[in-house]
Amino acid sequence: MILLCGIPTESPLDMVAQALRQMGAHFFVLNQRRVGQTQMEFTLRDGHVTGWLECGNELYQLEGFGGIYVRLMDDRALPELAEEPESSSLRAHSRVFHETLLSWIALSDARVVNRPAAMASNNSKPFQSQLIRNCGFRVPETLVTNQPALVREFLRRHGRVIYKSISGVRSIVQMLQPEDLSRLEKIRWCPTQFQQFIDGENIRVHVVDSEIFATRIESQAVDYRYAQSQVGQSADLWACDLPHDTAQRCIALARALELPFAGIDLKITPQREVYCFEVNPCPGFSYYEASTGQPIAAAVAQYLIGGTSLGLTSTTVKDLVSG
Amino acid sequence: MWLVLCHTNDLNALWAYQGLQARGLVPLELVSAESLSFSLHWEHRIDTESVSFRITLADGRQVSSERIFGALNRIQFVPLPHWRRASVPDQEYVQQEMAAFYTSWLFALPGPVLNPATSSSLSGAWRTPTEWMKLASQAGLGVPVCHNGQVLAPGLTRRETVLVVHEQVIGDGIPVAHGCQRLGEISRTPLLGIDFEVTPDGSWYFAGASPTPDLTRGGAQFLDALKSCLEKGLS
Repeated sequence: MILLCGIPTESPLDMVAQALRQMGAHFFVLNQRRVGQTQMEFTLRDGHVTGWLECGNELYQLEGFGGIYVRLMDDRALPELAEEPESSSLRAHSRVFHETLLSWIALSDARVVNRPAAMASNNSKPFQSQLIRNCGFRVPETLVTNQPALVREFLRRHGRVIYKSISGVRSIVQMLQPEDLSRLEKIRWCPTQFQQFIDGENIRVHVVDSEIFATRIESQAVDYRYAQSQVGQSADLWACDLPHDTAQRCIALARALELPFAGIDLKITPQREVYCFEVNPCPGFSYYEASTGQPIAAAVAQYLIGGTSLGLTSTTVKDLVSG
Repeated sequence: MWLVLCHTNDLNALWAYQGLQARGLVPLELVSAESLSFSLHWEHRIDTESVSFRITLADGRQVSSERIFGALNRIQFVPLPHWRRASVPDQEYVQQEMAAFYTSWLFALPGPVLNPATSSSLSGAWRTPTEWMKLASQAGLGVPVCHNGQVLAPGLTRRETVLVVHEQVIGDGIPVAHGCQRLGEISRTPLLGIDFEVTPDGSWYFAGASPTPDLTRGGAQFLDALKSCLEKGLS
């Protein structure tokens, strides 16, 4: 039995559900929007977890779930809670339920895509960048500073520089423009992240266990996710192949970050140098699958069922991580 | 230099700082999270070849990754007193940005670091009580039954805390020493405090673990081990 956690109509969750259905797998969708009708309990005894999950008339033993796909939204933002006062019992129930659910997911012996702790690495982009370089990838030169003079020098050296948030807060990547320099004094109050702009092809790599789905993105935008607003034209996406060593390094990176499913952002320069920018631990892959037909949802479903095997030994991964 | 990084009200860290000083670990600098908040100069660089940081504190002291041999790190959050009058959304944004920034530069501390920043905490991995219990069980320690995150206490007990410094268990004659050493290893936490409930019949039950424990419980033996670890480095 596979457990899918989130909002059933959300595209990635819906696509994995469809894939599981086509494979004839048994699954249950834990609909967050029905949190008021959902309860669970678990017990940890001698390192083993047992318990139950009840949603409406359906009751499941927790130890019966062999795979868990986590696409939870922030429960405090659920539409069902919008009209509830801060002190309402439904809000309190929702908070306790979600904390219990996440505690159980962290402990479960099931295949989890992905465990909450593993999803934390991109809460700090420069921290994740250090983990990425430890896996042997090139990373763009990055400067986090509160010193305008250092930013000007960094800009002089690289010619083109982008800036973006340091944390996991979603931000639109922007090119540092001459008119921005007059605002640089403001960074004295909050160090800001600047990065060398790397020219080249954008590649999004989805790693599912030991499977690789590489997508080439053609766009003139600095941040192709916002191509329509930045350059007035949507990005074009194409399935592509990766050099063998790059593909293996992507698998090793996902393994090092303990992510069975990861979205890795690469750029390949005209000199064929491969730079890695970021690893998304909860990739919204539907955009890429819808554009290219790559069977990413099916691979996730297959992994949850337990149908794939690891392509690298842990020793290899450890060697790569230790750099 | 060696660093002790802590909050101004962290008496344990101040005790460790004085103990390390008395043992001749020099140069040793005490840097508080509160003084870091008012740093004049922040510079943190990452590229394919290297990672570095340089900080100038308001009192003129310089903290540079090139000059650091190791650190005792107990910073748990980023104080932002100068943002107190900002709007709540701005405060929340800055809080996340600064936490992310500290995670990165603290992770870049060279030499032995007890404890290094992780993706979940600025000093050692943060885990829920039940995650610690599962790890403790894997380490071979006695663990009470836990229901929905609540521990079902084993009855009348006394409390004991065991410190582990890079797999060295502090204290003599501890019956659970091997399990404690193993927990330090599998939790990848070089400095770990492990709490136990000890029943009248002498059974030790795991009651929790912390990467920022009460250091004074380890006494002189702990300070000797800490100094040795900082000097020799972690293998």
